[in-house]
Amino acid sequence: MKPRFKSILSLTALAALQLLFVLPYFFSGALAAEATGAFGPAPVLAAGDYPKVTGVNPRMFVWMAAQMHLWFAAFVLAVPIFVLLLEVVGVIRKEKRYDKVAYEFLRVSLTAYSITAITGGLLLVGLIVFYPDLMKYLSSIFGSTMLLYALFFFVESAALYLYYYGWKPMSSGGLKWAHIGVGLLLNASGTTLMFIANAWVTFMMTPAGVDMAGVFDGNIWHAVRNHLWGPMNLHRFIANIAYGGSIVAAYAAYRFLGASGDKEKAHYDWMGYTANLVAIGALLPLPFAGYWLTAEIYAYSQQMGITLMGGLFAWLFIIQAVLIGALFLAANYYLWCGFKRGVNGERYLKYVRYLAFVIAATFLVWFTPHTLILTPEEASSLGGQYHPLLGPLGLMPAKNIAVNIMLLFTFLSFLLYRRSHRTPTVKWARAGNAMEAALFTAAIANIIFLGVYYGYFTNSVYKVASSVPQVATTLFVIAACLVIEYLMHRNSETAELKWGRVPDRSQYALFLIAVSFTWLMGLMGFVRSAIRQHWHVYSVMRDNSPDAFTPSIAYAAKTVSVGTIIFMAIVAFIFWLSHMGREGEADE
Amino acid sequence: MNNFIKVALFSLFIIGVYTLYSVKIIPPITPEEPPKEEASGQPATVEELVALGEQVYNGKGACALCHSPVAGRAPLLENAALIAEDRIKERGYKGKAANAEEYLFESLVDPSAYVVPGFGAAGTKDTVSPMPAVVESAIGLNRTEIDAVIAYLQQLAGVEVTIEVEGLKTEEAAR
Amino acid sequence: MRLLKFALTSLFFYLLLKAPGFFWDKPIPSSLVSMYMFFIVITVLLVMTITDEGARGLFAPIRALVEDPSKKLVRNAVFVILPLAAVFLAYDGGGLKATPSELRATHPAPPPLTRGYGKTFDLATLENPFRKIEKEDPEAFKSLVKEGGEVYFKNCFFCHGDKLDGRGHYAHALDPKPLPFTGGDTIAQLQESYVFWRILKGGPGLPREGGSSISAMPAWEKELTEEEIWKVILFLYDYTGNTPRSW
Repeated sequence: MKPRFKSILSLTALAALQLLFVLPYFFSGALAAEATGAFGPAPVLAAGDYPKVTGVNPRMFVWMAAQMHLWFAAFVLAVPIFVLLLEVVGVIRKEKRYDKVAYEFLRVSLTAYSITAITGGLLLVGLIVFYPDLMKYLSSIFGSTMLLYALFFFVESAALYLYYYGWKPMSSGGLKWAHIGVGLLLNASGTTLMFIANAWVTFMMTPAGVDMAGVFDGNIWHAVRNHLWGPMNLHRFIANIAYGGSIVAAYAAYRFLGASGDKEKAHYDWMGYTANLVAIGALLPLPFAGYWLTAEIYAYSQQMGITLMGGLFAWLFIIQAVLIGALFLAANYYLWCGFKRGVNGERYLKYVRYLAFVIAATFLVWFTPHTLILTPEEASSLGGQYHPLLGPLGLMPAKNIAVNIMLLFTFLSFLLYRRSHRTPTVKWARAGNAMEAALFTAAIANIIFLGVYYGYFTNSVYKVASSVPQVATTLFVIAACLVIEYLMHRNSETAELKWGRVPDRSQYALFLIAVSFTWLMGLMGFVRSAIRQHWHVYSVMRDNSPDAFTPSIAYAAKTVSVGTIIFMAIVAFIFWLSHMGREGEADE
Repeated sequence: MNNFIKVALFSLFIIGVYTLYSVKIIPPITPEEPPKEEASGQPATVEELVALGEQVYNGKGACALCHSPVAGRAPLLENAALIAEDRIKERGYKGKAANAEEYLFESLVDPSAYVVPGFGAAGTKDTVSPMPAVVESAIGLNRTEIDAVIAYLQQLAGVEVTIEVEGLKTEEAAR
Repeated sequence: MRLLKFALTSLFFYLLLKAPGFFWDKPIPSSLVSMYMFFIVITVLLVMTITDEGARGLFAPIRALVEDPSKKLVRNAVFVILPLAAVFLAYDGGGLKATPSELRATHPAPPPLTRGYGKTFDLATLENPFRKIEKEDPEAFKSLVKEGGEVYFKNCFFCHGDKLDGRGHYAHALDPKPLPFTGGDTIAQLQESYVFWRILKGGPGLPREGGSSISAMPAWEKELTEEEIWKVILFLYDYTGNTPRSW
């Protein structure tokens, strides 16, 4: 047996052992409930009901373990989606390079899979050791889904190993399609796992299927289908794809920097670009999933909604705005640097400064806070907390205008990038260009008009409503321009893109995107959890441990930063391991 | 320099900037302590009752979250106890309250009994209140706490506190 | 000279952000200006380093300064001046001199009603009962002001100062500083009922946005009578030559 195979087996055995070890514990609650034939109310706990371990902060332990597990799980769920897509594209286009990249990534995800299981086990142990009563209560309700979870865990493991070790033997003819089927099974079971775990998490935020005292009505479907389950599933699914893309792009960027020849450079440049395109493409619909999530939070409890969007956490969304702005700036920079990959790229370089100006300006509007931080001198000369010029920019309508224009101009960067290597030859090329320009102008005018008119000159009911037609305008322009571009560039003069012809600097944009994604996931995960405030299960089961207080943003940011560094270090280690493994393979 | 070190330093720098921004630039706001689980004993005097009411109003009851000029989601309550008299005489009033105190009680435990015009949930034409009943899950006030809030509102509006305190009553009876 | 271009572009945007302060006396808060400039400088830097030629051109003068043998004199000068400038900045206090930013509202919105001396005051309609005497009987009014002055110098002047300029003996130890009554920013902008509420309830009575936990002002309702408060208010306005806001 190959040593690598042995190590993987032992890791899987370890993960399985953990599960076997802890599962009976889970079921004890469920079995007790079934034996008595009734579900009790949620336990009321006192500070003494929480076991203490000297030198360990229970919440920090669980927080870190959960965060690590989530990051790795996001990665492990996203990579197979990627790999499967690449494999299918490779089969359709009959190009070997897709297959090669796909296989390279699956190898990485194999190690990451073990670590996901380990961190998951760590989280479970932490929860059982430090919050036994909560876990008992949750397992009395969710016992049956936990069994399902274990089942899918084994299905996913089996599919993953079959998929990986079957790659080479099943690489031709009908077997290839069977192999793709296995990949499909892998993704389906992985996504199902996530949906099941989401039910537990969302139940803690917006409990359903239980009465005020926490007595369960016995129908598991009621508890699973709580308010946030649907939006959370969608939001996490999309975000995972974006996240996986960004990590793959960062990996490619790192290999690009260390590439020895032009051919290798070109390969990793292409890989980084493709992965980044997927990441940014998945990022665009994410805000809408986020809106849905927030709307459901408000629908469940207005109090929870206000805690989220007003007061304490309002500043957290300013931080989010800064990070997403930085992300967009980096993505655009990467595109601009890529202009030189095409033969005609030079002619678009002079427009970059205008694109940059608009994107930076909208970015600045986007993170302008409504309540300003003033020194006493400034406060006295302004005569209040608000600035006559900046005040309106701090409000939602201005931010909606800004973000839509930012999206449009990012798309414009993308259009110019696509034209860097092809010239339309159809007769109506000029008319087509004029049409696109007209579309952009009309869209921007429409977005600004909607925002200004409904945002500042009508009552507040329309303020929120106007964002829908604004977004519709943006999406329409993007779709329409893509259609025009497609028609215009049929049979156009297309020059081969010169992959690898980008400066090293541009690769750092990909690192920034990956780091920002990771950090942002940590921070937004914190606020998602923090709006439960001092509840284990919101409004049903109170947290009476000494750690029940809501931490400040600064505390959370520091925690997330430490977590990000640990996570990044482990990821670097995994990549290094897989690299080592492949060098060994070459020697064999 | 080694590529790995370069990338690691770059990533650390980015994380550092984000941390610095979150910790130093944005204003430090300390979240409120979790509200106390139970009222500390039965209030014995009107002052204690009002003090408890104020505590519940700003803490456990989370009333101030919506009933504030900043949020603008719900009517301000500074004068609520004063104008309650007029509310129950209004033609649109369909509730069961016969006096101001009962009106306040009704508004707390059954917010939709009468909705102040303009403050109904969206699309219900002011027939359904967006406010949760205070006896329900997320807030869950007990009878003493509800009485305390009513007493606090009466004190706030400057009208006579009509809520009777158990301890006070027995004291008077003894006299 | 791409480096110069870079510096000039950044400077241009900096001046643009400073313009509302220079020309209109509505400065953009420095906390926000530094945030804006951080991203503007980065954006300009990004735009100028898209191509390798651009990046080389931008950094060429810096590279030459460090590496070019012919620039030895300039190099030595720069490497002496830079540390000296840093030393001067550190000695001078640099950015630390500015008052720290805060989110505190100096004059937060008052509550509509306040309680004291066993009754409820409606701050919207409350008036100084002695104010009408000013016209009816100027002599009596003068003695009222004098009595108010005595109240002031027995209680208030330790912090608010003998010239009512907010610079009393204890003032330097307090943060936020006691407000002056002179000048047009404080009591000149306020109704007497507001001043009454502030004296009555003091720092503890401030709403949270007023920084109730950091203000050192005591609540005077236990120390002074209602009449004494009204008299001291008369004195504050009389001494500083301000007139109370009446709308």
